[in-house]
Amino acid sequence: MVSLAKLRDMLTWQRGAAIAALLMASVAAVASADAHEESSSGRVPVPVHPEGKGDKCVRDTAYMRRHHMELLKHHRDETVHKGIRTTEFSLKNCVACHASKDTNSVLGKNGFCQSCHSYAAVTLDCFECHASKPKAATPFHSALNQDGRAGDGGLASGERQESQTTPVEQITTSGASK
Amino acid sequence: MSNDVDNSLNDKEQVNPRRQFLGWSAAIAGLAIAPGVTLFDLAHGRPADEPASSKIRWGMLIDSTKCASGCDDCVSACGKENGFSGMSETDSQWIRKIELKDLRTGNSHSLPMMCQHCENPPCVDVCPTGASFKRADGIVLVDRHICIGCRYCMMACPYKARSFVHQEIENQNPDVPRGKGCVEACTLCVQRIDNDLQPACVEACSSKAMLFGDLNDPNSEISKRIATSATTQVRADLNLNVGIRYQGI
Repeated sequence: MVSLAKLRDMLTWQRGAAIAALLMASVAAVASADAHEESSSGRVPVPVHPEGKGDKCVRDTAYMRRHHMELLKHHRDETVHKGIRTTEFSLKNCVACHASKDTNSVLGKNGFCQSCHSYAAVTLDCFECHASKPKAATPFHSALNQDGRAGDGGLASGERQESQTTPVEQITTSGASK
Repeated sequence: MSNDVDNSLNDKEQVNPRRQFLGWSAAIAGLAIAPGVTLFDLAHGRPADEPASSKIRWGMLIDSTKCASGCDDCVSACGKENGFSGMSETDSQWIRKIELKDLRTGNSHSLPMMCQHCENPPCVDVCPTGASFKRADGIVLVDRHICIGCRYCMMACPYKARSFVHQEIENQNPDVPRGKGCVEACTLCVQRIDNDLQPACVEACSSKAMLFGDLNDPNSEISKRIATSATTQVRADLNLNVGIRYQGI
């Protein structure tokens, strides 16, 4: 039978070994963190970063990861209220550069913005109003025909003609029966 | 002669990295002489980093005698620029055509009606969050980041100029963010004005019935026209001092 003192000694030794093993494991994890981030095949769906169109971002990556929302928020107030339209921190420029080459968008499962936001569980509501795709060289509304009306909605030409007429207000002046 | 050519070729082959660097810096210095001063004209009336100034007051003069009845060029140009089709009943309407008819004389004429960009806008007065605001250059706008969609401003506006976005919107113009749950109205195409362009409706008007310009500049075409001919503010009795003036109504 093992004495109590001996058992205590054994546990202490085991605890020491366990702590050492944990330390080593954590060092290894930190070292390989960068490598892990780029792969999406693992158990955890990690963010993917489609290659941007430009050479480099307006600030370094570490700064942008933490502070992009501050830059955007500051710029949005400057633009909306004062009409300052510099391009460095404009969301339009972010989208133009970071849109995925496959989907031409920053949204979607592998989209630059959305993949990271869903990984971090942060709501991304910029694109409820803002365009998630860069401005096309052609007129932006591909569904619009030359008249600026949504085209080809399956309407017969006569019906379309009818629905196209602008609602016109009738206002009568001076001689009105009122 | 041939020697010269050879020499220059040799020079090209043995490019000194330092010389190359000097060349690049000279090229960059040529592009930007000083901060904010560039060799190339960026086609901006106002530099992009300069805020809108209260020295300017944007306005419009609409000649209803020239405005053709039944023509909706301005309305469709507005939809095309700002991203709505006018197809659905709940679609936004930033500009609409109005037919005026005098029942006694039978005289009728037509005019476009939109946000009048008041100097003292009632929509700004009633806005509980500060989303409705007037920019320094007189353009009345909605900051959608702050708008809660309460629609007080729609009630307050005497011109029925504002619309509420009821449905989710896709494929926006990147220059004109629009989304569900906000009130919106004519922005005088602020994204175009900031790039030294005219509002889309003015550009599209085939009968040249719309004139856009700076009401504060006595030498602008619009100021001269207003100074020499009789123009009207719609509902002038409200003392809002609107930026859109009409001729012939």
